Amino acid sequence: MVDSVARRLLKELKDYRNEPNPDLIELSPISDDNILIWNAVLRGESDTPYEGGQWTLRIEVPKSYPIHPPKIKFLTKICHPNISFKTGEICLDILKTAWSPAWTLQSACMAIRLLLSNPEPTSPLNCDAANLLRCGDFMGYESLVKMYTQLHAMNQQDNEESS
Amino acid sequence: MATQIFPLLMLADVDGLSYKGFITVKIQLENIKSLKNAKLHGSPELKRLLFGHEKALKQRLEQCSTLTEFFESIMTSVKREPIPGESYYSTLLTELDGIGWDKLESLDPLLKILTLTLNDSSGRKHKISISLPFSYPQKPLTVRADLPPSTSKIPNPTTSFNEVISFYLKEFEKFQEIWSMLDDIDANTWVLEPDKPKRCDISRRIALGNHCSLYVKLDELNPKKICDYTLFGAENFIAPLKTNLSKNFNNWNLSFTVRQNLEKILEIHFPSPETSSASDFNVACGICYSYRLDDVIPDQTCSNTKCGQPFHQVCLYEWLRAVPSTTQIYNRLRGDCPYYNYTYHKRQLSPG
Repeated sequence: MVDSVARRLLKELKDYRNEPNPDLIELSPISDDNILIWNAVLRGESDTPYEGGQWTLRIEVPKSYPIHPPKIKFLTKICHPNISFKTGEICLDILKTAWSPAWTLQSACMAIRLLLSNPEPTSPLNCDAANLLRCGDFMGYESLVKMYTQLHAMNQQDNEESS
Repeated sequence: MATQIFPLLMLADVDGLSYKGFITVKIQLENIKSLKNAKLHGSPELKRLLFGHEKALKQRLEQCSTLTEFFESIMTSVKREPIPGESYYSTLLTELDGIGWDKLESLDPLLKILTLTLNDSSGRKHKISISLPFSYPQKPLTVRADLPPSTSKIPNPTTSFNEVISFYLKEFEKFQEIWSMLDDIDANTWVLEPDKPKRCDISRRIALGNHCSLYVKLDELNPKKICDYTLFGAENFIAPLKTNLSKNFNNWNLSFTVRQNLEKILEIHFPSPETSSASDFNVACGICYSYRLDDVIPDQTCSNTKCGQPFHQVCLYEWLRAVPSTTQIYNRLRGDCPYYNYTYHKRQLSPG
């Protein structure tokens, strides 16, 4: 079974490299020895408070992939009602019960990117951000998100460039 | 001294007159200084290895001044490949001169296996490989060629290259028609299997699009007909093709090629390499993304025509078993297609 997981992941990697995705700056295993742990870098959507930010995601692929979903979390701090600020855990149905083998690591990352601009404040992992939305304080919400984007998601880019 | 180069060789007596070694060689010397008239005793294995070299060994025993030197020469005798017979090389040269060197494609370093390239009457190139025994030309050669199963066997014994060539040129003619049928299929359709068709392959799996494919096997005795066919794919898509097949099968016209007949009978045009690309026929399993999994091809498909996604039975079973909404009715699992959430039927695998 592990063999077929590796084969599928290699195929996904090849597909991603053949057709680079401008919204997903990076998608690759973190080392050559282990194809089950990947890093992805998301670019924030323009015209949203996430514009200009870049977030690193850690993807852990189970040996039973693609029958079971990959575990994806944010390594870069992000402010979003459905993402834990502390652990980076993501609350998204396709990563849990709604998973299907039709998803790929790439499409799952793109679904996460879509979640950023479509928050679901009724099932929050970040209550502070969710409460602002539930109260209807969109301006407050946007400025909070923008602040954290500038604080964490843009610094990281600077760090990468300087290193 | 001898024991330094042959560490497994040991003195067997205090006088230094006999030695024993790993391959159980025993040398009896008459005197320490020369090897003259020394006697060599060996195990049956060694005897078999050195069989045929007795004369040479005796000669070497007389020539060599030290034991080490002698053992080194034995080692080369033991290691060396058996020597071809006296007339081996001269016959090989004469034969090659006879057929013309231009036909020679390759020759292995031991001059034992040679590959010839032959052209048949339609200009197709064929490679045949000839292996020669050491005792050639006393013993016959063996030939391997890439030909369909109904090829007759080369008469035994055959020693002459010219005989081989004229035999195979005659054989090639038998398959001209089937090969032109197969070439026509290869040139005008997407062949999924075999991966790289060889001349011995007389069956093809042709891509039809929509994850469907048609397997055909040509009839060697009647090359313009097919002796076996199977349609793979989503039932909704292949059902009309099956109807067409049974309706039109009697209209098979021997003046057309197999491909033309198939297209007329199925009332479709096969997607051709000119108008489509390989990615249009994604026949890989939608779960493991590979085509062959333990040599099994995806044979289950989503029953929705818009989807038709193929799966390996094993992969689909794993998936349906993992989904809570899957229901089981008798020995069938029923669940949602991972791709389009359409109801899908699948036979359950035998338990265990």
